[in-house]
Amino acid sequence: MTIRTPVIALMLLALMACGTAIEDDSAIGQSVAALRRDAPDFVPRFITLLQAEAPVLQVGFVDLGTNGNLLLERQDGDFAYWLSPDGGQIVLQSGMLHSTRGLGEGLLASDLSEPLALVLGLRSGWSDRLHTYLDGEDFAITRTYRCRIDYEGPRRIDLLGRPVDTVLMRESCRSLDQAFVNVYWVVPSSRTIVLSRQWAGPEIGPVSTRVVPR
Amino acid sequence: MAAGCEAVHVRAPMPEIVRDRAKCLRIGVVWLAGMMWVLAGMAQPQTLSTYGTPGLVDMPTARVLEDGAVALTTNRYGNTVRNSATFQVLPRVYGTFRYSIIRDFDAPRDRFDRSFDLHFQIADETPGRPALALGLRDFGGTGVLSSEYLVATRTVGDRLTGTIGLGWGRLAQRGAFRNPLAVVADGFEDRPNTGAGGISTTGQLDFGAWFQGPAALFAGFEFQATDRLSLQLEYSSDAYDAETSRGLIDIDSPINVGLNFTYPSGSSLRAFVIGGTEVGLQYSHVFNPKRRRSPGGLDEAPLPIPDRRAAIQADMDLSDRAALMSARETLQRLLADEGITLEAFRVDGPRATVRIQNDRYDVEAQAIGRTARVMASTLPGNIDAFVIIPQVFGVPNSAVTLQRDDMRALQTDYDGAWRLLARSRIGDAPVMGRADEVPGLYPKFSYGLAPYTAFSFFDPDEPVRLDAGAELALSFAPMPGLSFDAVLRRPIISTIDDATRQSDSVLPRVRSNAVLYAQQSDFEINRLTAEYMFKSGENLFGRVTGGYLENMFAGLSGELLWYPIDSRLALGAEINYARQRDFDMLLGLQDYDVITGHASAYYEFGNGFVGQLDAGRYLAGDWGATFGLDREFNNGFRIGGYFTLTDVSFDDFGEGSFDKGIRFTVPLSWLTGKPSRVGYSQVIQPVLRDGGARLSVPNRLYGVTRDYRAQNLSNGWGRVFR
Repeated sequence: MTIRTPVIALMLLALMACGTAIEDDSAIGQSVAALRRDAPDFVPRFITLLQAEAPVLQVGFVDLGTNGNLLLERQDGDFAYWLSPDGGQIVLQSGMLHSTRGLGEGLLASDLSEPLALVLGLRSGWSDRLHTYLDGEDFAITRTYRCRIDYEGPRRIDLLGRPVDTVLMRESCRSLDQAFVNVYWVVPSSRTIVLSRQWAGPEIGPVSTRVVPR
Repeated sequence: MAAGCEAVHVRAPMPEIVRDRAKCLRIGVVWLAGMMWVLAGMAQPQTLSTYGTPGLVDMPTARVLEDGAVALTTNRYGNTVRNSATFQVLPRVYGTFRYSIIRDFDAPRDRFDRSFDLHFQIADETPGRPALALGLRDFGGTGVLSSEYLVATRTVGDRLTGTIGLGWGRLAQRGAFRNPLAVVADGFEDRPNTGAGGISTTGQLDFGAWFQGPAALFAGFEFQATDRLSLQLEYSSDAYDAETSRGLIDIDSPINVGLNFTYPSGSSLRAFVIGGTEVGLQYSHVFNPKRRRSPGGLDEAPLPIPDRRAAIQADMDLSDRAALMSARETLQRLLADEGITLEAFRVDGPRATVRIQNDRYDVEAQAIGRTARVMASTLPGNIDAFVIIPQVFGVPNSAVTLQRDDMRALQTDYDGAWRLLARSRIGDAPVMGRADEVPGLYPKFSYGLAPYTAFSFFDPDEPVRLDAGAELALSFAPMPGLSFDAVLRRPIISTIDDATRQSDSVLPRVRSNAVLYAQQSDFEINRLTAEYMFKSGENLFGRVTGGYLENMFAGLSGELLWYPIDSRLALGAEINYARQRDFDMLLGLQDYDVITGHASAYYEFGNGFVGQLDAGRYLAGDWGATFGLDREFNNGFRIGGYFTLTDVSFDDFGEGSFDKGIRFTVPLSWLTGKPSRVGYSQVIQPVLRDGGARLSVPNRLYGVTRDYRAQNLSNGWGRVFR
């Protein structure tokens, strides 16, 4: 499994542009504007975070072929609320995709307790995960997936020019009519997910996340 | 119906979602175009017959559409044009409305025919038995297409489906034999000549003819060559007797063939040959209102709910007046970002109460959730409970009580929405004064300039006529509940003006002079009213409206609605004095006046079905009742129909025999994925005449109050954490 990573140079430029004035033609402007095709102007909440030099998460929508930078709006215990320039949101629970807002995918919330224990514990095993989606009629539908989690061994990855020693964990899930594979690169010492590719749902498909070191 | 059917008009499209009085956007044309475009991902291709229903070429199959799906079809062959709209009302029942034109049928004139079909699937297909269905075509119309069928369809292998059926009426014109039902009763032997009654009987249900007279067999199969391409071949029992006898079509063979290509968008193109010689073309589009463009929505993410110690004003003491004012200002500002107006704020110990007006979210539970998030992000740590009272036109509706700790704990729970609902309380809002009102809220003034469209359908000279122009809406509200409103229109394009057919009604011409209104008006005062809305007690709402109430009538209207907060049932009563307006649609009045009014019952059956019964006196002074049934999808898309029976005889009513119509509402959010309270509504009446006509008062209470009653709030509760 390979990750379709965004162009590194662009990302580096994007990082350097962080905290500076926002211009549409800046690198960060371009990369975040690409996040959603019809991206309007930045929402004020995002601008506030940008000025406060909030932590950055690189996110790619694999099927849509777009990517960009999200900023941390709130860290609340295990939950991190990452805001996109046009007000979309991705919520990660200890690095695992928990829910989305405003991105055209109705992932309301998830129960990730079992896969989190295995992935962060660097253990193989079976687990259940629950996703609750909003359907087209705004009804919340909970789906259960049965997942096999496998320890794939240590991997040294390049995190924006910096080599990092990680362990690759693979999670293969299926329900009656859906199947997907998530992969996580976990730093063993801190038990944090620094790089991942995770399936959000049928509408937007897999999402890649990459922690940007401060 | 003879070809001389007269111009008929659609009621001026009153937007049903006119919660914001000044914001009467009518961009109907754009939306209708949008409907055709929207919605990728329609599932299996479904071949539609020339009748616009699941079928082969002319013959029906026992198939149905996906539950809730809508199919729009237009085709042309020989002298015939058929435009059909089919709605899968229930998983096993679909209904169709069709407008057909047969050139020179009543030579030298054309036949314009409106017809309704109903199809019941008795059994769906299983490995052991075929799908079985019973259908009525043109069951209430003029009888040109009138027929009934019993049909079975079965899949053979992966690509082939076979269909065999028994037809009556038009579907028994070839190879007819004695009606097998005659074994049951002799009355089935002969079919009354249903088409003979002409105008006087049109619109009546031809119960007497259903499944009567000779029967005939039809059969056919469909071969699915690829996912997109299919071929139909049928032996037809419809010989086009009426058309061939008039020399309008050549039928050389009982075999019809068709070739259908379906696009992934849900559109289909089809070519077909009827009777071996007549080549036809057909376009259809199938979509399902259940699917919106973007299921989760594209709205800006909500504020995360913080720990109460991390709230903006975590340490403030709201018993201090300055702190209270500061908290109110912060709430006001953050709510404004969410499209919500803070109208009142009050703190009683650990309980904070806000009264709000939601201007943005079409799903009302989302507005409640957003308000609670703002309160949780703002208010001091000692506040435990939030009471949120949504107001419409300044009138408090319901009171939703949420616990701060529940909001926070459940915001990331996978079943958070429903668990929160179980811990919340939705009650009726108390009757409240203006004590805690946000200063500077009144007077409110708003205005909006927008395009409008008004349609007239089914005039034989021009089946679709249109008025389009600019509309200025003005609203001035000096205090809660009271407002003065004006809707002014200036048509820029009008083809309704060009209509030449005059009313022949023997009743007071309360609606049938629509063309005169269009012709004699230019700048138009569509509405000019003073309106007062109030809550007069527990679960009881009231309204008084006076002035130029609608385009054809001025007067005074009073209404009371009893709507228990957690009830499926609401009961209302309305009484009006109405006087006809001058055709120039300015301030003048004509002599005709009437006392009209209705007692109404509204009931939510569940699964999105809403029924309405209005009994009383109509504009022409006739007494009777209107029965309405709508299927309302939880995303706000609505499709329904109604009919009205009054003491006006079918003869006096004229063409159509009684008033009936179909109606739909398309919410803007369904098309765009962004929250909005704007929607487009249209009523389509096959015939617009004077019997059973109801005064069109703006802001009837059921529509105004329903959104925030418990039933509707809990239906939308899935979005409370969006």
